[in-house]
Amino acid sequence: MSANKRHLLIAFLAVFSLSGVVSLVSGANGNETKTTVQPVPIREEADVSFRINRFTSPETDMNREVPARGIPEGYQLAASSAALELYSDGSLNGIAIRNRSNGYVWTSVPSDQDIKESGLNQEWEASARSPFILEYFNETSQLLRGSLLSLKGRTVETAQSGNGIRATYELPDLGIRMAIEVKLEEDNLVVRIPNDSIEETGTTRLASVQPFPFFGSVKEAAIPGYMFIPDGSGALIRFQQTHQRFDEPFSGELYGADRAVRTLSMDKSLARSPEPVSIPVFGIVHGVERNGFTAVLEDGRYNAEILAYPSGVNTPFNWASGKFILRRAYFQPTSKSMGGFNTFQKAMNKDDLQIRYIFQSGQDADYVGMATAYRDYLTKSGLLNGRPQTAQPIPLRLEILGAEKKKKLFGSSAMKMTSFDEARSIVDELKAQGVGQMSLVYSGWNDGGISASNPDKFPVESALGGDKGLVRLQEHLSGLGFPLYLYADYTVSYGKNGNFNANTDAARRISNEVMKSRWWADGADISMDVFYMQPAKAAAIAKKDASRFKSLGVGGVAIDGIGYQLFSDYHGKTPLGRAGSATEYAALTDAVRKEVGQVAVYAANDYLFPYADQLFDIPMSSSQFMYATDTVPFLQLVLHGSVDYFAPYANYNSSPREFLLQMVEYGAYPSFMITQEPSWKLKNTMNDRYFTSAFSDWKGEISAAYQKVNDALKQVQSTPVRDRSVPDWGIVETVYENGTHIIVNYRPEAVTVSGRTIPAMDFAVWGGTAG
Amino acid sequence: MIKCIRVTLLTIVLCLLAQSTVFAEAPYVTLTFDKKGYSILTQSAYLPAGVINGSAIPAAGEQAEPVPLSGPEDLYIDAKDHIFVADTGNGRIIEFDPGGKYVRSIGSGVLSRPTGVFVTADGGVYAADYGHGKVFRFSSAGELEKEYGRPQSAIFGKDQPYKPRKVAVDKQGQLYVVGEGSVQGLIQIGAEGEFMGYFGGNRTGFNMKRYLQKMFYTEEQLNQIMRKLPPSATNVALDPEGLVFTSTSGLASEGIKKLNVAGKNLLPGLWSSERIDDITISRTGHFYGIDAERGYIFEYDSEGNVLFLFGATDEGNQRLGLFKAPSGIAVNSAYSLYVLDKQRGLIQVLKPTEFAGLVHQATTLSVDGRYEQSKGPWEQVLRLNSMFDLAHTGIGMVAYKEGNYQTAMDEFLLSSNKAQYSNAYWEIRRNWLMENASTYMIAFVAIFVAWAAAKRAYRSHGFGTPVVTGWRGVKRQRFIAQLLHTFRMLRHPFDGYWELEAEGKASVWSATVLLGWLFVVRVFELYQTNFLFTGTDTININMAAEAMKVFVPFFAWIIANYLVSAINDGEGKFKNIYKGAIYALSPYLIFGIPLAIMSRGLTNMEKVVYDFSQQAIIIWCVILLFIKVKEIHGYELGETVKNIFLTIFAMLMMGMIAFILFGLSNQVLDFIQSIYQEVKIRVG
Repeated sequence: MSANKRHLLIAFLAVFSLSGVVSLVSGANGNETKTTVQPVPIREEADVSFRINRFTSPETDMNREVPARGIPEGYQLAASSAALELYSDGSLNGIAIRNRSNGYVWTSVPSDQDIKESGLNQEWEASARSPFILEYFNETSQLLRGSLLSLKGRTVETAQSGNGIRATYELPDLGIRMAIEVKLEEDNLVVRIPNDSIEETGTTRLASVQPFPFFGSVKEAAIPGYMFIPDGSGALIRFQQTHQRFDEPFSGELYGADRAVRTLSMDKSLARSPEPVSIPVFGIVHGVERNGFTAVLEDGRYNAEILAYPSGVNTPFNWASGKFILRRAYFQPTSKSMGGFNTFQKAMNKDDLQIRYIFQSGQDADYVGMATAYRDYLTKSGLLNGRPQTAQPIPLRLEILGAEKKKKLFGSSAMKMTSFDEARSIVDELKAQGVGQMSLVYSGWNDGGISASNPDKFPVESALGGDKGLVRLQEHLSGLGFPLYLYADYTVSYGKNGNFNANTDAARRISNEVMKSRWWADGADISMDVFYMQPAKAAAIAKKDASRFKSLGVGGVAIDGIGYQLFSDYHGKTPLGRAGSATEYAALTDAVRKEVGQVAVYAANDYLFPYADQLFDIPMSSSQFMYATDTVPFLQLVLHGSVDYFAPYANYNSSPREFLLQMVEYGAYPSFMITQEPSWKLKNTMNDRYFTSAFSDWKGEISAAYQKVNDALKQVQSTPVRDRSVPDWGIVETVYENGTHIIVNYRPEAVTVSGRTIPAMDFAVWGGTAG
Repeated sequence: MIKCIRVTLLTIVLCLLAQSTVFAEAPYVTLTFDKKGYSILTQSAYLPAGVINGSAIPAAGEQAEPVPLSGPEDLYIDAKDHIFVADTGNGRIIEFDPGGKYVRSIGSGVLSRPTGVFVTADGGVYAADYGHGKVFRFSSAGELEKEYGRPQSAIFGKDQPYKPRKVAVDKQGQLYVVGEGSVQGLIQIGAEGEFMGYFGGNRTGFNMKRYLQKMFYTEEQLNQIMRKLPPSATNVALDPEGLVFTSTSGLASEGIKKLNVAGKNLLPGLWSSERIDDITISRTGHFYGIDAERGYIFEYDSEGNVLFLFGATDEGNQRLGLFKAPSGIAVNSAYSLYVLDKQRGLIQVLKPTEFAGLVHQATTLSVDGRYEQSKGPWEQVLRLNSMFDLAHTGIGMVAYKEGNYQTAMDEFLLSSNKAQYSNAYWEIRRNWLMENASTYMIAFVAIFVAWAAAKRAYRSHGFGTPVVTGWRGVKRQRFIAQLLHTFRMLRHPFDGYWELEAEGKASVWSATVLLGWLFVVRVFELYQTNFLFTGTDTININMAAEAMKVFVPFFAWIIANYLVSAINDGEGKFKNIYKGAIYALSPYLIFGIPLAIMSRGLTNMEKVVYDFSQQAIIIWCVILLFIKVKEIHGYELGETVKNIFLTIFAMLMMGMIAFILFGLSNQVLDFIQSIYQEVKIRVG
């Protein structure tokens, strides 16, 4: 295997050299030692694997003219600020925004010519010309759709309100009245539907509302640019003249489906659910680095979707909007055999609905600028705390599994996977190998092992060394300056617990069933019912736990579950909506942090951003929807420099070399999941998905991967991103505020960018402190 | 080879929903399977790597507008990795280069509805045209060379339909045609168009109803109802050695077959799903099948072990890597998979990951018998997934070849590979015997001599009298004697039952202790029998369920037997039936444990010894049970047989009543609950 020897020449390849493997990128073998350098101009025959939406594509349309539009006829100036002017027709059926810095006009209604040329049917034309699209349930619980104009509604009243206008609309056929307020706040446009303005006098019940759906819409590729959608790390839908046929728009439900309402279907499909939508943002760019806006869903975002229609789905327009859900349809079972009927939520969600549009122009008008705008917005509103982050070198997240429940002849017992003392020597060994900073996460420390009991956790499992062992580990780590996070999940209870009674403490579905699911382990006769805890109950348990942690001297808690699972709770007289649950979870996290010291959160949605010291398992890809043309690290662009964030476990990735480059590109710190014992012992347990974790198998990889990522990212810790660009397919350059440039080359051959040669499947760092 | 797979996919989906983003790298889960057929989660084996867009294909002639692929039904990759697509709706074959760029169209104007395409090593293109009912051959330059119409041979059959859907061509230029409704098998046609016969047909499974119908129905009636025909093949492919693979839809097993020259299936019992629509074989003999309904892709090594199962259908969210209606699959020389999507009119490219590359390398080396070289890759595979059973077997094979039998045995135990475990154990036992046989023989002889000497000394000199009398005293104790009565039952069953009934040689108390012992023996047997001979996995043993399995039939028997004999002039009292039933199991009570211990010393080669002993115990117990019924109730032979049948019938009835009661009560509860719920929800 001579290829293997050649791999060894390069240090990082030595780590991941998998001899003779047909590498992910065809022709990877043997190219590393080539001295010839590929020119950068875009290659016609660039490998198809870089041209897919797993990567960001280079900008090719930068010089195309962006057709300007005037203020539509009949619109009058309604408000103005230093940066913007707001125009509207007399009845607020449409709005136009003029950016004073460059005169660019955005409208909520496409031009008459575009509408005429696009051959819209009546329904869609009405939607395009209306200030909102509605969904509603009629008397027979049917979900129907319409817009102000298609439902023969009218504006009954308009009035000046603050720095803007307020209009009240009436849909006499449905017996519905509703008001929209539009106002300017500095360089922001704010669209608001006050909840108390919604009146339902007939039998029709509102299901959802989308204000100004066609704001910034583009017919086919009439204007060059793209839409940004918050799918996973982030994705773009570029405007294209021709493309394959798409059947569905992007409709991303913020924070995932609500368990209390949606029945999650279980079929024999191997499909995974798409990536989460964890931030309430979308955006549209008209001409890259010319004009753009970032839309942030504010009030009402806990029951909302972000919709993005690529051209060709129903209409030739590309359009994106926020959709606020007021009522949901659900299935009301009446018997155990799943008999029942379809109905919908009786009471409307009691939130005001508000979208904020932040405008960008010039250099800032791209997804990087959007990320910066959103970061500024979060910081200003106190939704992102600039906490002190880890100082050099970068932290490694080492997740250690302590014990797991194993079935025995009678009952079950805790099977040791890593004791506290073994964890200590693992840390020492990695430190000796040059890992300078670590976040040690210890799971399965609780009584009986990780899947034995929750929320009851104490006493600390004696097979691992008990309280004393834990304290010794904590003291040892404190001495080294490494934080220790104990793992805790505050969403589910495993069966009945001392602290938890399913009948009184479990959340309930809208149909009044106790919210639970069943977890199985394949191959072994193990299963358990897990109950979803009422958020308030979870908070109370967390508080008790926190004081226990404190008394043990533990300085950190890694909180799982609540960061990415958000549900309403219908127990008792007054249901708790998702907004309430989020508030409850935020308070929980804050309280634990205040008591214990440090908190890390797994796969956090935005409502936990301000309370977490470290974010784990940040999405590193988009769902790769076919209509999406690019994946972008939007979430990372927002968070970098504000909070430490970590990639998912590197030892479960099937393409470790590429994943390492991705961590460097995305500024994400590496994570590994480790046990002392061989991982096959976890077979026939609830955690049989950890199929590789033995420390002896991974220690070499861990320190090598760490060194490699550290070489790049130590230069830019606590530094936000200034710019990101893609010189060619498979090559990404990121520039940080301190002047550091990091160029990552995913290609199987060396490339030269700005006079610097980057070897195949490698990266280069310069500028800033790197010199 | 895995014969049955308990795909509890539900499980995985459930657990993954609850997990964070840990394993999200492909839009589908990738599984491998252990020897017992349970799924094991693994790293992605293939990741979406792009799309060959079918919408921008230039039309033949002067038309300016591109004509997109329309309902394409087959895909073939030739030796140069060029991709050929049967563009069914547009009546043409499209060729793409390895990078997915359009090269040319073949057969426009000639073809009507090409549903199958095949390219030979010298570049000849064959198209199975369903519309024309012919197979067309084009030269490598794309010119029409030959048409293969309906075979003229009388053997082919006059009424036999000839609707070619797929075609494969071997090195001699013989065609294997999949024809619609061709139930006898593939239509084999010579290079010049002569009919050669049918090849590798499927058989219908045995069906009791059909068998009875055949016996009793008239010819006419049979003709009317016997429309059930064996399923015909859906696709055909050739492996690098020229062996024919076929896929069949609607078969629970053998959905994929590998046929030798005689048409015999070389991979009997291969597991797949029931909707395999296309198969493809890599140059190293790994083969793939695609399920058109669920979008599953199965990958097997050349011996038919399932390596990976992955892929899913697109239920509307249009993610790259999910298929709407997959109609064809092909693999190129770099193991990249190309999946044709009929409905979307495009080809998705899936590339093997670094992990899949290792598995491919290791399995190829292993199958070739190059075990030393396979060691490195297998160790890497195990490092990346320590639950990968095939890797444990692979490492075990390496250790076995190296003479490292203990390691081999441990690895085979981990991967539950009984055949290889037996071999490794045989070697270890042989070595052990070679080393220790003489020592143990000497010890054995010494003990025997000592025993004989002691016996002699006792007889002649009264040596050791206190021990002997003490032992006899113990044996004479009433309760001990009652327990030891089991031994008497073995040798003198008739006397034994008489003594049991009339002389109080057994009591309810002793019987109950023995009943407990019965369960102990059962548990010992479950846990201690050599795993070569057991079907159960110790991890899955549920004590309560095992207790039910032992005690429920036992008590059902005695109750049923008592009730039946009470109305049948039986003399037996309930007490005696109870005692008798337990003592009838004496052979099991006595020999169960020794047999389990003995099994641990046996290998597969001596399986017959174990099986024989086990059956002997069962038969012995049955005979004792028979004698029990006869003796306890004082029956004649005929009455005994009648009584036993009635007892069994009564047991069945009891089971049925229990089942009905249980089912009914559930229904009633459910009914009441649903009324309550409806009233509450609708009114309240």
